[in-house]
Amino acid sequence: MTSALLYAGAGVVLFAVALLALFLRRHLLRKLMAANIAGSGVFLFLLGTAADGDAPPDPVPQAMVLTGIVVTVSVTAYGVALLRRFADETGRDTLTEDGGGP
Amino acid sequence: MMLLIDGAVAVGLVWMALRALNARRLTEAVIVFIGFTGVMALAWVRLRAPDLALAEAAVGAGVLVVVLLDGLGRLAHLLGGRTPLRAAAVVLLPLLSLALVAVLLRALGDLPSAATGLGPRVFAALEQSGVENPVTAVLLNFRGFDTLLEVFVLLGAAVAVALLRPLDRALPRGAGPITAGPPQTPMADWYRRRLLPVALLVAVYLLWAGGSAPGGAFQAGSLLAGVLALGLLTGTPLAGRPAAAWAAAAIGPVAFVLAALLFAVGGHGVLQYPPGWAKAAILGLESLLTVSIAAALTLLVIGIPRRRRP
Repeated sequence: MTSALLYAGAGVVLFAVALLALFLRRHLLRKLMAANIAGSGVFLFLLGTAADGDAPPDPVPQAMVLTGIVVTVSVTAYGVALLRRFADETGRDTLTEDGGGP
Repeated sequence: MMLLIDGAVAVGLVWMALRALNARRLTEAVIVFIGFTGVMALAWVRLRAPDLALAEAAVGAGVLVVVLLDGLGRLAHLLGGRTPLRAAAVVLLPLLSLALVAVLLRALGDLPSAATGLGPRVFAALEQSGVENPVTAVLLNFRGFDTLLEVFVLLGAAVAVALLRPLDRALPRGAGPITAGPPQTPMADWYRRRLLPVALLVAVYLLWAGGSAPGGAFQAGSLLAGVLALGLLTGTPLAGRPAAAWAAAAIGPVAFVLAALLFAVGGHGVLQYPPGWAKAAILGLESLLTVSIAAALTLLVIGIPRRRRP
């Protein structure tokens, strides 16, 4: 088992535990962090499986992950802003089943 | 030996993720999550992706910290009535999650052992790309179109946050831009006066080095954004004119589109640099993109702007 595969495996576990937390946690900030960690898991899997022994690392998946990091940051910042507006409108930090209006 | 280190980093990642996801107190969860991004940077180093390590560290230590801690502080006053989860969900979902791990690990074992990527083709064409760092070559030359869309995602997110401003009333407590902290804290004063110029220097270095070594527009831009956020929080008077920030956020994407059109009109493909111009074009575009990325990330950190005075 090579180290790259080790990271790919860690990526799988990260994705699964974060997905579970995305469902189980109620606080929206926790959900946002769970989505972030799930994304990190996907990135790790992508780069871990792309590595090929001692050959120079493939730059294409690296460029894809770099793009992914940018998009993740944008989405996270927007998510927090949206959450703040939602909290102000409803006085809550969780969603309710009927959509969460006051 | 290296396998031992990799094992420690991989286990550390999973452990920190579990702590961040399951911490009882939200503050603890946020802080562990920020530590998690630091360990991710280590993992990128071990996967021989120093460009990603720089980006992850710059983002995790800068923009993400401010956005998450600021959000946390604003939500702290909420009590948030909890309705308990259904018992079936609490039992079933972890089992499904375990099954997912088993299936994906099994799939991982079935992947072909030799990667068949585009790597060799990138290295074969690297000499024509105008830069020596293969990741920069992919980002700014071979797959310039992706990067063009990416910077528009960033700009779009900043615009979307600005659109969250309520139209008809003053901003309530949770929304509203981040506010400057007290300007006279001795440590912040000492720190920011020395940190700002050093960070500017490092950002310019990262931008310049991106041609031949790890670094580039995004790493430099997110570093700058982190420092600008620190400046905002410590009450440094940063040009208080939003119009200037928006112009800075837009200049990179606009220049990128103009360059693409210009090359297309000049008889080359869209985003296909004329021979001999690649290095100059990439450096020019990257410089403008650094400014734009820093500005867009700073606008994202600032958050929902105040209502204009009527």
